Amino acid sequence: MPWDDDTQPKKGPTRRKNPWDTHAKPGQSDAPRGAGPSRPGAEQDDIYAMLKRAQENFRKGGNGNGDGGGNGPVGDFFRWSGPLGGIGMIVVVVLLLWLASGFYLVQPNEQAVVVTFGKYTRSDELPGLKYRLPLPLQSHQIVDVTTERRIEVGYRGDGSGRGVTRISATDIPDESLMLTGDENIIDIDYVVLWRVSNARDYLYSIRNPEDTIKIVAESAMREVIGRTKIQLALTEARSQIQSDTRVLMQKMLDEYKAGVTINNIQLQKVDPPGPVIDAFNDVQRARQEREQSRNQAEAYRNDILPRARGESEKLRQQAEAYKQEVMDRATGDASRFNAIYKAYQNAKDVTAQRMYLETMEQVILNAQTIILDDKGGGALPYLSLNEMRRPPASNAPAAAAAP
Amino acid sequence: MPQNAGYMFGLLALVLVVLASSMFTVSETQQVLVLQFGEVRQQIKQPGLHFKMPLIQQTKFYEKRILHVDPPPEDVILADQKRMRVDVFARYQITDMLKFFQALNNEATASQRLSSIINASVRSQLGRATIIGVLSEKRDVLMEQIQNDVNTETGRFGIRIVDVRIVRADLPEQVMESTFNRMRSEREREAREARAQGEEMALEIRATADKEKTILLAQAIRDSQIIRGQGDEAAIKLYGDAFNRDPSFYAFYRSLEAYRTSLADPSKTLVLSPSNEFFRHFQKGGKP
Repeated sequence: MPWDDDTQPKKGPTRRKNPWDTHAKPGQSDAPRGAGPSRPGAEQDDIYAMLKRAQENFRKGGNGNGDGGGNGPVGDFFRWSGPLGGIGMIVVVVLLLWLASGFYLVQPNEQAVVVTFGKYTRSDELPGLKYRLPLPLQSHQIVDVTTERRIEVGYRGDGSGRGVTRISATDIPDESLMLTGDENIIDIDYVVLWRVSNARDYLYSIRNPEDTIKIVAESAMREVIGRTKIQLALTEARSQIQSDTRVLMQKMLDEYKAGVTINNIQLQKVDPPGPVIDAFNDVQRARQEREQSRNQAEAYRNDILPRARGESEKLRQQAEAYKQEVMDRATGDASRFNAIYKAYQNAKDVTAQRMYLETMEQVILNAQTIILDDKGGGALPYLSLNEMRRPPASNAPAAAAAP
Repeated sequence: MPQNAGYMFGLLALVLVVLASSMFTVSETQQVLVLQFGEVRQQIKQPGLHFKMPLIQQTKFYEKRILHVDPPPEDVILADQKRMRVDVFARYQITDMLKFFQALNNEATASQRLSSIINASVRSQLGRATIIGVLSEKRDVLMEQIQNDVNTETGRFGIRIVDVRIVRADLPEQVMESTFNRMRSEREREAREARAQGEEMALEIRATADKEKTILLAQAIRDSQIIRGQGDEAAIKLYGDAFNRDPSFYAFYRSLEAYRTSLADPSKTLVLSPSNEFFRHFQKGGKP
């Protein structure tokens, strides 16, 4: 279109920009007021960026449709008002831009709350491109409702408090030391994981929700620990503590209509406090030592008892062997005697004589023998004990010669 | 024509200014008091667009959300004479702006006044409680009583106390050290007990094992003696049965055997008389 080429490049951009800027600035400065003190600056930037995006969309649409004739009536209007000059056109453009500033985007993780002159009008719970009346009639606030946020109690992670890993965590004893039900002191660090469940309540019920969540967490944790004995808290009651604290926190926050869901309480560190940790560790050591003593004693038992069993079995077997031995020997001796006796009975005297002589023969053959006539009195029965101890070989001839 | 336009423009501007100064919006988080020369004309709790007389009426915005008071921690002496450092917090809402405006005017004063009222109530309520009560059993009841106390006191301020809670109930620093000492001694008790139990078990196990060993060996010796005795018994019976048939022959037979085994040895020296039966024929000469 010819007018496009003539007017737009020269006047269009400046005229469009200026009216937009004048509107955009109050819009921008209005946003923080509506947002309240709890709104972080980043989200204001988001809103601004979104307005900006909407503005750009609009500009693109305007240019594109100028050719296609989709905005025919607008084009016609410009053409009719041609003779009247730019004023009408400026007004219309400004009006359109102003109306277009009501577009905004809701991301899938967000909810938007729309207010009309500050009064709550609606919540956008589904994502997409949304429209509200432009400022100052309506405004909106966007809240992230899916991101899980963390609050660390008892320690601070790497400064930001959002770090997943605990690098150079600093302990805060004021927050982490608490009294247990049996009047002991325990050192607990934990993380509260929460998210916004209802954007409207989150924005309008409590002035500083994050601080509130933290103080509620401390109060709830201390109440739960105050009912728990230290030994349990250090050992098996951990999951119980986590769930009890979560339930208690949720109950309190629901009473405030905080619009917040506590997803989880994670106990990071549950220890006895520093000055007594040695004593607690010593108990653990003592328990280990107890087991050690027992194991060693059992080892001793396992060492000596099998040996004793073996020893006693050995004694029994030896006895059995002895028994068998003496019985067998007796049986043998008895039957030998019986056999000899049987033979002896046939020729008693001769046999006895023979047995005697054979025995004496053997005895005298082997032993040294001195025959001494006790009636003759010729030789003094003098026995040299020394000589008798001498080896038999040298003594034998002398002895033999004597009789 | 240009003059008229000028007037028109001026009038329009004036109307705009008047309108602008008479309109105001109240957000969901706010409530507003409209004052005329310091006198309250309106209490606005509904959010939205509202009007006031321009110039002569002023607005005072108050918070509608739940607010927070955190009085400084206090050392309290409990009924059992134990000292505790107690930190409470309270949540309140401004319910009656007129009373609030008259009595306190702003949040800073409110916070101060509430703090001292809350701490006074904490002192008196906890002064009747024991440490165990504060820690567990009666914590809920105590918090509720404090809340009631404070609510009756603060009704005239146009404030509703939503909640009073004990955040921390800790031992003061002076008591910490003795508590740690007590905790240490308790652990020491436990540790010593565990060690002694270890010793106990070890001694018992060892002694039992020793006993079992002794018994096992004694039983074995008993058994072996019984068995040996049985063997001896059987042997004696066998010998007796055999030898009883002719005791004199047995004596003869056994003596010969004994001579053979004990005397037929080169280390033995026998001194025999020629009259010995063995030498009978030696002396008699060739006669049988």
